[in-house]
Amino acid sequence: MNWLKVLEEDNIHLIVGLGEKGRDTSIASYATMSRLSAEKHKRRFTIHVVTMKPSPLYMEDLRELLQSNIAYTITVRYHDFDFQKISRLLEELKKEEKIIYGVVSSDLAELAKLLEEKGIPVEKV
Amino acid sequence: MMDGFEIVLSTDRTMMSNHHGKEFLGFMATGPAIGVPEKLWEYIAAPKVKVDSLGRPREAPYGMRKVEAKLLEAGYKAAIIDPDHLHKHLKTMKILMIGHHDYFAYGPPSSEWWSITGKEPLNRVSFKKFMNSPAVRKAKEKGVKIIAGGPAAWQWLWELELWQKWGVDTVIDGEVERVIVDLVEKALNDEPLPDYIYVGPQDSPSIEEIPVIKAPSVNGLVEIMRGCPRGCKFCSVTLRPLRFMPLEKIREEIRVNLRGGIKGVILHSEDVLLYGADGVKPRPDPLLKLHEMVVKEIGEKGDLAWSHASLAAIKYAEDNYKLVSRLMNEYILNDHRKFLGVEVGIETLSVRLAKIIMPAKAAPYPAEQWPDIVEDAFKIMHENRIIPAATLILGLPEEKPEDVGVTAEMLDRLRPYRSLIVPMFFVPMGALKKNKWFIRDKLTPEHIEVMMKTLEHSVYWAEDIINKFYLKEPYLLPVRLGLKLFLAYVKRKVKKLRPQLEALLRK
Repeated sequence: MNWLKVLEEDNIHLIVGLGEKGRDTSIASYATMSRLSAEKHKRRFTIHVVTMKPSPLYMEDLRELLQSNIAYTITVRYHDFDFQKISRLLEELKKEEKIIYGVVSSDLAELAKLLEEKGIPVEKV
Repeated sequence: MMDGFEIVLSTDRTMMSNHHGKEFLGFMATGPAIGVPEKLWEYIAAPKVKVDSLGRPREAPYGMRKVEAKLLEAGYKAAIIDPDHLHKHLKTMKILMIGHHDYFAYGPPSSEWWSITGKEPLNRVSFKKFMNSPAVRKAKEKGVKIIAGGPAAWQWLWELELWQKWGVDTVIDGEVERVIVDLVEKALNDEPLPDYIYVGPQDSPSIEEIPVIKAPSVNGLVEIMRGCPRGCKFCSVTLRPLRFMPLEKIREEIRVNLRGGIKGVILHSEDVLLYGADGVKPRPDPLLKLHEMVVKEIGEKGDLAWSHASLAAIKYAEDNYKLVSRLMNEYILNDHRKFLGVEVGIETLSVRLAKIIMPAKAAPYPAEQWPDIVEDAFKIMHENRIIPAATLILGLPEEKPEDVGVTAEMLDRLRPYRSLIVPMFFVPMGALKKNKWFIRDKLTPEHIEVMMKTLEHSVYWAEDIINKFYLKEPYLLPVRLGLKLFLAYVKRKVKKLRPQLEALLRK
């Protein structure tokens, strides 16, 4: 994947699984972003949203996170539930040595498991 | 004959208009047609602009001109195209970029007029018409990528179904000069794009990365700085780093406008008097040099306006340096330029609320002096033929009824000063953007009192302004008449509603 110059350089990739608790997951994600930003000294995030909802309707769940943000550069990329594609994405991110973290709705156990198998820290909401 | 453009920038008529050369008339596009036929309202607020054979407008929104300039400098075939001429570029268009100040009328004051009247404002109606137009629909059918940006980009988060329906590929919020070329390149290469982008303050462009516009801006607007140091919590602009444009850059852009036939200048800043300032203290030297340069470029007959100024800076500049009267008398006013228009922010006249929401609005004076600063600044402006359009915000978080009551009382002190005062309903933006909206259902008697007082104040002074200063050119007679018709309607309506409103207030 060709990431966007500037916006997706030297950033943190957050895999956000929006399930039944979409809004809660989004709120938790922002708290995680703040923590990671302080730990890693980064102020850019790419949020990879994994959701059953079509694009861009899933943004309703993400709205609170985006409305809360005044500090970070954020890009939001949509992924449906194609686990093969998600797996390939994760492999690519790991190969590029990107910082990756997961925040996943507790009803999306399979997604959480996939991330954990890839060695990615996951927070379950 | 030139080929068509692969990147087309466009927007709806309420934005692609010079409002008869009178920038403030554009505010009528934030309301629904009231008291006058809709066609007349549209004509007053947003007449068409002149275009060339390719549909390129003679003048276009400034922000879009910046993006256009950046793309042209990168070697792309890009142009701003009038909405009525998009069809000319369907064969070559690969990307359609749209910008707006207020796509869906969620910004102030549109959201307020909508809330009060129950009718969709003109800007929203017009934008929806644009997106549903045959040319835009056809473009999408052909696979054109649509990228939406501008200061109202955040509004797409509240219109997800329309976002989906219209097939907007990416929404980008923030200053884009550092990033837009790469985004466009990836779009042209059919690479996957983010749905949404927020450009944080650390990715704001430097002065060197901000291009000079290549074609004229609406009514000659040119920016003299970006950002604001006051940190008011309701404001999104204060979140951006402060940068002053060098005089050479400003002059270049004025010359682009003059060469394109735009004879006037609107100096754009969140606070013109903070150009080259020492923190929040205006300094004479940069401002005198700026105005000397501007007036030399536009000559005696060029129009001049400031977009915004702060009341504290007006007072400080005049009290310490007689700077306001110097600028007006030595540079601005002449036989042609009889007044200077500017927007200012009162927001609240409650010291308690000011300290919470905008503690540095009064700086370098203490916040306790805010009501006196407001009155002093209004007096200075009145004496110097500066006519402000002032905003108040109703429904701020932490607002109490007594704050609004104090504001209503203090408004009487401003009655002697020529001005328009417009109350706006709070819209969550800036540091307060996760707060709740203020809507009509939440109006209290104190709010109604403020709205009545500001309406009476503004109608009184609007008649004076139109009679003595505004729209004096003969070709603007239909616009003057239309406005007078509207004012007459407002006065009749207020007279009719007054007994009910007064009864409500007495309760």
